[in-house]
Amino acid sequence: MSDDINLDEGQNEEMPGGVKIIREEGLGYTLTVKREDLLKAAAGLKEAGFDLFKFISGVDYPDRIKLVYRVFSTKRQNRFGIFMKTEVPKSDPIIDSLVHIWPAANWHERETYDLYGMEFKGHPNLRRIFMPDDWVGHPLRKDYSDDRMIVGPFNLVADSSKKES
Amino acid sequence: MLSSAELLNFANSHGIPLWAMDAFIAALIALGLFAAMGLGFMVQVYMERKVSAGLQLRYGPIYVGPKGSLQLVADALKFITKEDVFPSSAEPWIFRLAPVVMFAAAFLGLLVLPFGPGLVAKDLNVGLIYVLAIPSIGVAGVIMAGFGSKNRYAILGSLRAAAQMISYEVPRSLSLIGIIMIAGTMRLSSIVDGQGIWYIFLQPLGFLVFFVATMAELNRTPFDLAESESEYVNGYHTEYSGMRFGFFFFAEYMSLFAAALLTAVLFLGGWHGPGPVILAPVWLLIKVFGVIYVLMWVRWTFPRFRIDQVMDLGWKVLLPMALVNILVTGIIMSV
Amino acid sequence: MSKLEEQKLPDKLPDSLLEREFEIEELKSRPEDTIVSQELTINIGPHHPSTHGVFRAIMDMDGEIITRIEPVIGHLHRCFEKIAENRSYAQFMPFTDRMDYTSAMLNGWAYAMAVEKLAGIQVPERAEYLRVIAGELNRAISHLMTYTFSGLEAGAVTPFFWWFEERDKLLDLFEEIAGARMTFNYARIGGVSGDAPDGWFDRVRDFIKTLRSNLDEYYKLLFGNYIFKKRMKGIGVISAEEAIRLGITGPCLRASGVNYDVRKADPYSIYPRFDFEVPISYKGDNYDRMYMRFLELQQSLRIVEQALDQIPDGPIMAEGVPRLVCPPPGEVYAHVESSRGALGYYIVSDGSPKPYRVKIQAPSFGNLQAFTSMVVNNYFADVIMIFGTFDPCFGEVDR
Repeated sequence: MSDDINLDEGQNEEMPGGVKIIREEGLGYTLTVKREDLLKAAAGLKEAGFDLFKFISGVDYPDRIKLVYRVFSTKRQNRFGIFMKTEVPKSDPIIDSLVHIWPAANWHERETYDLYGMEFKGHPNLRRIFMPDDWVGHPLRKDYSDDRMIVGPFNLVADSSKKES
Repeated sequence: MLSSAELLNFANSHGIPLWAMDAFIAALIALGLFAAMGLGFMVQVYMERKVSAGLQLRYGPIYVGPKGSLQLVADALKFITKEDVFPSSAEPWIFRLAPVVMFAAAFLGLLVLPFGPGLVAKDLNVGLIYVLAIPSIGVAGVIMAGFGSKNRYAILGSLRAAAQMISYEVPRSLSLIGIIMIAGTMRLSSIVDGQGIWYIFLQPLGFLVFFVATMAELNRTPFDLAESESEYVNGYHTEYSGMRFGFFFFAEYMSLFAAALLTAVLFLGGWHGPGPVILAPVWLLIKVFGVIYVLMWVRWTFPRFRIDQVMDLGWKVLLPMALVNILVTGIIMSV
Repeated sequence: MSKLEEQKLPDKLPDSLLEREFEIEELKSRPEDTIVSQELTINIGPHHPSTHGVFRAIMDMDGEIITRIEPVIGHLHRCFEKIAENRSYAQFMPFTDRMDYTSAMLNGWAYAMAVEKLAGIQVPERAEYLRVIAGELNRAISHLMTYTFSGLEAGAVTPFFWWFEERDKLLDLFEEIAGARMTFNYARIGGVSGDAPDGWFDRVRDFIKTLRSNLDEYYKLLFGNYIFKKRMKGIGVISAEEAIRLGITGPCLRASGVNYDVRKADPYSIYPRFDFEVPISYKGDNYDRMYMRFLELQQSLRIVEQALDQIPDGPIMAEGVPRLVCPPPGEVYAHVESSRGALGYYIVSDGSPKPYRVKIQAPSFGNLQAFTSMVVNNYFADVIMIFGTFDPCFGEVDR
């Protein structure tokens, strides 16, 4: 991915390894990579000027955890961010750490570890960050339950006939 | 007023031993001073609250007593009735003694300070040396407080305080050499008597150095590193509460009063002022509270220095200024 | 430090502290006349006067200089992201106010924007303008707080109390439109909760006028002070590359010379209609970080004035927003420039009334991470000042 890449609307750029940057409704530029290609793709993005790391979000699906990385380019003329998505099976939640590419990912990876139980291979200090060290379970997993947790106060049923006046 | 001869006669005729008479008189003087200081403490705390409130767009105390003037009484009751928290890891005796040492040092410093012509507990001929030396024992109290409470904030705060107080002792003492040279005496009442022209006009540089160093000695805001609440929580008295803290509080305001009184005596013409002699203590008190007001004003306006900047200011700026002051005074006097 | 605390310390510490304990054992076995020096471990927080909330840091100090820092966060962790998964979209709105409570208007706005984008709701013009006015006023007062708070950290208490007056006036104004003084819950999905009452715009103008005229005094009180300048200039310098590497956003990033403001980089809402500048500086020290806030504050007031001139009449809620918003399945990301940096919401919907996932990208989280990695080899007093210039809000860091 060279620096003079043109990410205009409708134009799909190709990454090495056949990954495509597409424009997703609601998200903007998105890049979906396989778990094995994550490091390579991240290094490519860094090289292409995406230097400001914003966040990692996990999304828990029944069989897999989707990881969404957001990085931003401050160098490019037309400043924009990009999403990088990858999926990890729940049975084997291990993924490469990106701390060596974006040092700012450090705490974000710890957060994802804490709340989703995702192991980041190569992270220098993978400990819980919000929860106490002896906490059992990973709260943002859908199957997590705790006696003290208050699940929604109302039974929510979609009723589109009731409109706000 | 009873003369000493009458007192002596009284003692002889009633068979009272002389030492008992002496002790009685000393106790009376101490009690008088203590009462005066207690009153001064109340006035100063009320004043500090109101001055800071005024600067900060607040009302300050308004509920207890007329215009909140009895707030300190309520505070004192709180101090006394509060649980005496004693940290389990503290050194018992050092922890308990520290406030006493602080208080005693501040109180002893008042002994030679004149409140008016003849109104002085003991008019020593080396009063100036005494008044500089004795309150400095307070440093020992600070270190004891920091050391005794076995709190890391406290020990760091007390070390800061010790370094700062010892450093500023030097320019503070040297800045007064000029006055000693002009007045030719170290008796405080004679220094006041000699001030036809206030020494602030004869010794402007000396006054500047003395005033800044006094602020540092008092641990007030540009130099409040010992207590720096945003860093070391409360410095050396972090672990103190209730009446023990009350003693620190009292000692602090007593040294503030003593410092203001010394400034007025040395530089602002003491009790000199228009009107009959009976007004002399009034004039002195007006000057004293003027100085206290300035100190409070500075405290509530300025941010504080960093520890290395404080040291730089003391040793690299104030000390040379004090030495230059001595030199200039000497040259002018010999010309 | 009391015994109790000393016993607690090793809980969260890495192996390095265990090594230190060995060292202490070793020291005890030495002959008594050997003088050995050792670094002092000091525990800051969670309750400490200048941690802006509940931040705990374990620091090693060599004299007054910090040699190691071990931050411990999470004391205010309420797992809002989990709460969001158990509430309807609208029910999560009040929680946004409790994140960055000093600029709550901007938080709610960002969340509302994300949901509107997801559900395809068009916000009426007047609501957009009201959001801009409320948000920018909130940003201005939040920046002024950071500025006066740094005075508090340096020992000057008075400016902070002055700030309370301005804030109180602003809260009176907010109370008129939102009904609350602290957690406004003003933004709604599809609009805002209340229209401006009669004469409100004039009162806002008056407020801006007085704030403007007072700013000069605020400036003189701290920036004009020799001691304050000495405490701020050249301290905590961070270069542009370093700032980006550490993931800083907001005024702290702009102080290092990176021109990144979401309002300009990815204009949202009606910002393209306003004429304003993004102040930028290149030194990247404490003073610049604070000065950026001071300049941005003035730009915010400028935006509000323009918005007051342009605001049209009309509805404040979009037509046909259901009580229970059920957006179509999909993902969305919306971000705003909050007073502390780029604040973003990433929402995944599965078509049900509850969000499947809400990720909050909190600017303070990134800034705090950067702060902890740059304090080593600074004076303890300076570390407190640097912390103040980064001004993390712990409702937001811990979420």
